[in-house]
Amino acid sequence: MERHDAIVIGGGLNGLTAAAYLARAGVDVLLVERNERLGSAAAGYDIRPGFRMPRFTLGTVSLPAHTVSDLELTKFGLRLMRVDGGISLTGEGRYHASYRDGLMHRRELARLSVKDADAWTRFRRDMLRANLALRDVLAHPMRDPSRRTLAAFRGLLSGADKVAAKPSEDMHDLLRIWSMPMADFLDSYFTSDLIKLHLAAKALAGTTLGPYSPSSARFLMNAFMGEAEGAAGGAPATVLAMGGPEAVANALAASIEAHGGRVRTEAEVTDVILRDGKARGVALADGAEVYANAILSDLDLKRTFLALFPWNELPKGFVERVSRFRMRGVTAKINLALDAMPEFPALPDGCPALQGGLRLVTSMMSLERAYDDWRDHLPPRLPLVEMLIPSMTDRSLAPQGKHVMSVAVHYVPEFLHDGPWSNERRDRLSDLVISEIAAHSPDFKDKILSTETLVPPDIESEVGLTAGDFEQGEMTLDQMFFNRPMPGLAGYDTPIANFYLCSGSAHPGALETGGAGAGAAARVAVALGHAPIHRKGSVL
Amino acid sequence: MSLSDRHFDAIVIGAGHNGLIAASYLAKAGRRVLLLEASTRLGGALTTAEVSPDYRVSTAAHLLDALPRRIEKDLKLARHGLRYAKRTVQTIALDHDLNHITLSSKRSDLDILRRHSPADAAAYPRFAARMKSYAGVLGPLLQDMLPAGAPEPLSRRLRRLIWRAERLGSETLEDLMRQLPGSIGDMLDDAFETPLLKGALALDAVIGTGEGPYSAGTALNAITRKGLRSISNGPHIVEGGLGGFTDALSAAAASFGVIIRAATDVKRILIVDGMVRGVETQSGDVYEAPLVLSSAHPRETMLGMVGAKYLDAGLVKQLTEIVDTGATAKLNLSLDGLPTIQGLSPQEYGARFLITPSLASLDGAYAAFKHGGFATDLPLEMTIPSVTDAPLAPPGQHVMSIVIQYVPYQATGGWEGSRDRLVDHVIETLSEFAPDLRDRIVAGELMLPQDFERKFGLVNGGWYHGDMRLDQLLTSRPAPGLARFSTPLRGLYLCGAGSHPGGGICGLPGEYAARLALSEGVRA
Repeated sequence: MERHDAIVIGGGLNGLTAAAYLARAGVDVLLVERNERLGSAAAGYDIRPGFRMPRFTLGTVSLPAHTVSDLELTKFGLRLMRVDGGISLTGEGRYHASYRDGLMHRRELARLSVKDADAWTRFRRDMLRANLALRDVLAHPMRDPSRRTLAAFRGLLSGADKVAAKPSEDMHDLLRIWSMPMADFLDSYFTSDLIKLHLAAKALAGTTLGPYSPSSARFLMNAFMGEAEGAAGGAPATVLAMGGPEAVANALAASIEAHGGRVRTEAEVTDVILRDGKARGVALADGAEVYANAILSDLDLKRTFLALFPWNELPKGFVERVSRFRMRGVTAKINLALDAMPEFPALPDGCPALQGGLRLVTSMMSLERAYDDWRDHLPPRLPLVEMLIPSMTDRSLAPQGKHVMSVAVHYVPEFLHDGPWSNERRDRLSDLVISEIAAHSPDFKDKILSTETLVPPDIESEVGLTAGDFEQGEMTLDQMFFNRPMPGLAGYDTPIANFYLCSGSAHPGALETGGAGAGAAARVAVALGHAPIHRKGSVL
Repeated sequence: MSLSDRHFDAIVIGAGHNGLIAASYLAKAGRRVLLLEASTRLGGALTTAEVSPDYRVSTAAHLLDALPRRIEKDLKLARHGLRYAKRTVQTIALDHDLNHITLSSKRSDLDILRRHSPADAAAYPRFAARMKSYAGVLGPLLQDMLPAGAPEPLSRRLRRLIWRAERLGSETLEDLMRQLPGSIGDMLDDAFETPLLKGALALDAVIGTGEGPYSAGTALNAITRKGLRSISNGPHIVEGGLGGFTDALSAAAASFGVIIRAATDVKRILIVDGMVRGVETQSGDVYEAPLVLSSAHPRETMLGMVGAKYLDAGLVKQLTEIVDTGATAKLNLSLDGLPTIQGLSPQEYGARFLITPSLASLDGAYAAFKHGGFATDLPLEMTIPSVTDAPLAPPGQHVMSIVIQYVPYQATGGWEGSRDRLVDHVIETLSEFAPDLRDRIVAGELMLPQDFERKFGLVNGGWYHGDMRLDQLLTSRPAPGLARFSTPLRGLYLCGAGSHPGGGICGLPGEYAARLALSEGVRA
């Protein structure tokens, strides 16, 4: 009988991070992944021989610096590249680029509005400050305010004191960014429509809110998460991994194995084995059973509880609460192999910011309309299109002179109002998007060697993300922090003893890659009687 | 003018209901109060006027929904003529299949809801009870003055809030925490399945605002409205329309000794050494007082009447950025007889009717509004006040009062020509329930957001002096730097809907500002 201290179900970045932290803490951990490749949505594939690209995600990487250093990912082969922040291009051929270099970025802003170049300093400072405050929150496990323990109650009271003691100006700044609609928030800094649109399009990509939705302003701070404070003021970098985002998964796996953990792919868990209501192990599709004292699930909340457990083993009302957890797909992916580098005549020659991606934008109102269409489950008319050509930065991804282009199409619903996605509908989506791109790039269509379109249901069936939701549960205020995945379940524990949630459905969700995995690992390490895990820059 | 005609203990600017209430509380406490109103009429948007000769109706809002019983009692409004034509008006969601849903937990009403969905009929009383307990936790927050800046009282208040919440029981508490930052749409999707029921409850939460049913913060709005209703008496129809309420407030103010000057527009608030000295009117008259309370829009008060030079740049920016979104229009109709609303018993005609078939249609109307248009099936709140208040119309005849939700301030392509189309849509929607309505119409009057702006000075036609939106509520109301009622200028207070807890006809900003001004003890 195979037995370990802990089993992690699912080899997405959170599962891998959880296993890596556990292995380093001396826990005998086994990670099992259903698919052949690790990384879940971040897994790579060859769209045609010699053309490698991430299959489901755009390909940018956001990984907290402390994870890289804690888990020594550099030692295990991870090479991160910081490039400029990308470009937005309008239908009339106007553009705005983000440069890491403070002086260049200022010049670029001033080209559109001198006033906005000054406002940038203020905006950047406020974004960094908001992230700093958030980091404070992320560094601690979420206490569940509804838990009836004295400690929880005391925690709440001291939290209240802390809030009250903050200078009221800081508190108001935080309230503003967490509650305001993004469009109004940007209006309070900038005058140039293009600058506002550039920031909004980047921030809204992949979210389930529109620019005029209350509480959407907070997405603006995400881009600044990995930015150092104090550096003279450029735009936040786009981070790429050499070899694509799957390189992050591979480095994490190497880190696990180097510390005695085990990673098994093509091993699908069909059931969690329960004894006396406690999780004791997992049953695999090949009939094998593996036992452990702690089991962590990197599957989303719905898939975890609706697929791995018989419903009658779950507490009354729990299944209903799980099914109320909102998960909606919002992003489709179009993968392209290109015979040559596409040209964009509207952009300056050799603009370095192109390495950070290119977004096609029209107006704030059209972004809102795309969001409205998504909510109405209409076939996208003017979706938010985001492109990345990772082979510009990493030549190994495509043959000499050729390229791969990753296109993320946002505000694409998981099903359409009049039925599911059909092949014809997929083709229509990719025709629409490719024509949009071709309108800015002559001969673009002639350069396409291969193309593949993946809509949210494809993502669900291949990766297992319910509804094709990359966030594993919408990141709306009512599903964040101590409400994630639901009130009463905020601390990675579940109603099943020995069974923990370590996926993005848990806190902090999409706020930090691997954050839920690290948080769950800390919880489990304590539960298994190991020393607490310390992360650099945070206490878990 | 003698000295005593120019010197007062306090001056209140604006005789809307909040101004009248603030002035009354000050006068009741023995202060000599001067109340100045720019218009020739008192009451601001709370007025009753003729739709056509002999037919009168509340021009804008038409129900007294959230006036705390305490204010009614303190100001002895009953003695000064406040009469209710109907107390605690029922709310009925009109159904195309004539199974109209009355929003109540009464057995007979639930029986009808059961025809739509047995599950919802079972869930409704639980939902109502839950909303009530949420309101019980948050209600006191609305009645607190919510000071900002001073950490000590804030932490004490937060502790009290936590303590109240702790007593809820963990399931209710968990639910409250989940719902609080969310939307009314998600909340209702979780609770019910009947489209009509969800549509009506959602409309109730967003009416008058520029928010959609799925906008974050609308659940909080629904709960606070419930909280306000629980300290008031629920929706009432006032005799003589809301002008009748204004008359009672004015009479009360006068009885406490408030000196009221209408048609007196304040040009400037006079400041000396960071302290208020009085006001100067457009005609050049100067009135002096160490206390000035303004119920005008916070931006108009601080930037228009005080002037940016007395304020720090951050505050000026915040004031400039207060968002007002007009999203609501009003259609008033004179009718030569009572229209037949199908499926309704005679005693139900005095109710408040909500018309929106589903959350989806409500959300669709919101989407059209966002993009500068309006839907064909606009969400409506309708009353026929003359059913319970006959003198509003000639014998046997009636007036109908219709609040239209999601009408933009600026329509794409302009309002020329669109007004008739809007009226047509509304009559069409109502005719589906009352087929003979069209034949009964004698005259009508449409008030668009721009008309509210022109007539009542409401910026963009927004009803609340700053939208009741997540980022403009609680400590952020009216602006983060101005949370609560006092201002950086000693002796100057904000007492209008722009202050906590905000709009709706609750009078709390007026009462709180007056109490605060009294407690801070600035004396002549």
